[in-house]
Amino acid sequence: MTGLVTWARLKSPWLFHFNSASCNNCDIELVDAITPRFDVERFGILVEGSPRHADILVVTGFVNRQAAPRLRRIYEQMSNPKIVIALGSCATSGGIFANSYNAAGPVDRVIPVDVYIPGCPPRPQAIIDGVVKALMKLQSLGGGKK
Amino acid sequence: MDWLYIVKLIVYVVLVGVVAAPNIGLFFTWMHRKLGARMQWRIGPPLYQPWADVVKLLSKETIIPATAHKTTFLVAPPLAVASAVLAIVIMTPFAPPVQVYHISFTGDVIVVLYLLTMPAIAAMIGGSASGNPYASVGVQREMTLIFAYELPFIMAALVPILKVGSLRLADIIGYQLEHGPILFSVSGFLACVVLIMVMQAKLTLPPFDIPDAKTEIVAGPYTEYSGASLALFKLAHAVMLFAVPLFISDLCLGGLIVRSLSDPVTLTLDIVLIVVKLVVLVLIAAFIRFFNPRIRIDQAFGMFWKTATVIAVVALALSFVPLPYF
Amino acid sequence: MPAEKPESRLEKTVELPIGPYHPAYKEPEMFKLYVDGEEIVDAKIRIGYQHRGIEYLAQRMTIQQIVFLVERICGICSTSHPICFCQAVEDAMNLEVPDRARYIRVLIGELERIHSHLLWAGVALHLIGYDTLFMYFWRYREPVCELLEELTGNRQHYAMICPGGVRRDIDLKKMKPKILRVLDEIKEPIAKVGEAVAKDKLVKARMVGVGVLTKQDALKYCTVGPTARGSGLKIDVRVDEPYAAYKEVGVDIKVLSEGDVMAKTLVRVLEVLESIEIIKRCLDAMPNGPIKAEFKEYPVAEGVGKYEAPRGEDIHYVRLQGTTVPYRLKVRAPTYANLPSLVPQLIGESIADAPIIIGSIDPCFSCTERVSVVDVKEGRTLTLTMSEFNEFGRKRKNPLKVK
Repeated sequence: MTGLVTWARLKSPWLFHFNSASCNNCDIELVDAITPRFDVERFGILVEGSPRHADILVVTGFVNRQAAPRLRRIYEQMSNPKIVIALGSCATSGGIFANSYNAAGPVDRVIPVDVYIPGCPPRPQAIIDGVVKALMKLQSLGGGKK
Repeated sequence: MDWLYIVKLIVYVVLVGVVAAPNIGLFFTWMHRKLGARMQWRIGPPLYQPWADVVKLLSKETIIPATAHKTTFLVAPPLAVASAVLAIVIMTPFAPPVQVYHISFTGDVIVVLYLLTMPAIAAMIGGSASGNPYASVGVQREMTLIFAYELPFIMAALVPILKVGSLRLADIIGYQLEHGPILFSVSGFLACVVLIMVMQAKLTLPPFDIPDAKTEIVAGPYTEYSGASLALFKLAHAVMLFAVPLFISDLCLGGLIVRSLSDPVTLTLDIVLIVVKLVVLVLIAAFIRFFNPRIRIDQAFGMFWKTATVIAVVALALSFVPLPYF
Repeated sequence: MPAEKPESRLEKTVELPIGPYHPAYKEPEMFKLYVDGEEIVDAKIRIGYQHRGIEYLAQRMTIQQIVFLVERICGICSTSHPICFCQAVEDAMNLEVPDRARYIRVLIGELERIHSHLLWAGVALHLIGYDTLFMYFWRYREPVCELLEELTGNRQHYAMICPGGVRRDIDLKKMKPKILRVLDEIKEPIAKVGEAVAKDKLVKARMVGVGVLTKQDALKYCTVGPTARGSGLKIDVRVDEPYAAYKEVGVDIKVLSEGDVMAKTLVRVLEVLESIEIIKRCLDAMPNGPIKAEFKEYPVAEGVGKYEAPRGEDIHYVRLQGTTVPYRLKVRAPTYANLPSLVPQLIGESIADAPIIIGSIDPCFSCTERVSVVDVKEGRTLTLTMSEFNEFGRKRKNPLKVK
């Protein structure tokens, strides 16, 4: 039974995308991944509208002070098991905005992060690679957090 | 009490309702997604995708939001699935002369008509119980949409009923066996057109996916659902993808009937026809879906109350004409 | 025309937040829409969610570093801000950019315009639920992105510009046939699908007559870019105040007068086709020569750069103080000018149309989030807390005068 469930989780990762003060490039590359050239629906990846429907939270941006409490709330709204991916250099480390007065991030200062995908912006191939690594982590954790 | 009959009935209900209906529904879900992908120059998901989606959702935690009314929130999804499955069970696939399980009864068409509206109502119940503003707008839209398409739906369904003169699905299918599908008459054709329009709205597919509008109201009535509850809603949607085309097929295309179990030629032909009828309807739904944007609720309302109702009225009027092919 | 809002009507209204983190938009913003049923009776726009403190960071970086900083103001108009900033610096330094560099700036700028408009077109159609065309537009955007990668090294964030010229040269012999091939590849499909969008009955039902911005309102709210050009205003920085090589290359401004979402969409599609022509003219006319003008001194001066970004007029103001670090950078992005014009566009419309109306101005909130940070006492380093920062906004200090 657990084997079936783990298989299902690997084959059907639904993403929710959260933009916490990003310049938009990482978001565009993420959207690019669902377009015909890369087509991640082949892997069962769907970008969902409600955080409650998603398994993977993809965060872009360096998390400014307005975004931080909201990011935490979105994270808590998602149902378990869930995984967090920090997409882009800003989400990973703050990037070029790390010294801003408005920085409350990067992402791992606000919520726990499972996978970091650096790049400014990371190419869609890198994003797919990162999501696959996240899924592998899900598998090795025996089904994700909690 | 004929215990053997009851046992056979239970086996039939389980086989059709629990085994066949969800799986065929999920298969049609896959067909839609794959077709959509191909039409969009993409590859699309593999065959097992909808099953993986449902199993994954079932394995996730179901969160009940604090603003939700707990019981109603949890009751809505099973209600949706149960109605859709029950509708399929009642729409007897086999009719005279091959009677496998003849559970058709007088008035079963009306029952199916109601049952096919239940999933939308269950979505409304669940959405209202969620306590979320996006869900409220979704519920409002769903209500308006139901209000829009129910009348043309009933009128179009009346056309075969009036032609056959019976409220029993088995009789309607039997009539079509003798006289040919109702589609091959003017009133029947018009009724079928209206039924297809309504099918698109019942399945909340574009251009009528207004209650579900992701870019406007997050996820509509389903916004706060997660885990097993969401899985049941998705399953209900999948089963509806099977139930509504089945209904249209029963009413207008001759139903999924097998004329004889003994003659292999007619048997193969009939099975092929069964598949073709259902698949064609699913294809039509998919084509309309992927080649149209979403329209606004007021425009949808206009379309149903003006265009669809007018065509349905004309179909009804023509069905009274006693000439053949009318 | 803005509707009157009787108090009793507002009482019955439901406040529907769109944002700040709404799946429709890739960026956070907050629109508070007061709805009565499905009709919008009032709209309040609140921005600030993208605020990253760019102007503050700019006061702590050298001019060369700032080019990379402003590039990351926005991912989509990623070369607009560096070119605009460098123009401001060149204006302050009275630096003349060599010819070849000017043409290369035009080339990159127009390629970016194509990719930005195609991106927007896809998103706009996705907003009305027409995913098939969304995929279509993005499919034809891919060759442009790959071309930019071959030309500059990255799909976005090209890092091509520096004060005085461009950082890298383009091997025209190798790249020109490739560029022409890509342009020919996308020209026909875009023209065809533009026509299809203009004629499709259901798309027209969603876009024609929706979100109308009259010419008077467009003037009153000082809109810029395709938003203004869709309402009959013939304004374009490339023609009104030519920069880079636009005087030589020439631009044919596309203007439509209906002012609705369809007009704004078609203006952008026409601009893509026009950009293709501009690039061809630019490639034919590109001269040889140096690509960068050197400068030795950092004067005390101020300069203004203006650029026609895909979304409209972008303005950068820079004040140099004799060192590598500027005294002040101020950015006025096009969406900032266009946002207030949303209010007359939204009022009276249905909530279902709100996303497409908001989308029709092509909002780029990353470009928009600017709040002034002014050093009142010179030489003092300010570490601003949130409350201090808000105080500044409330007091509205005057901009510094030139000494």
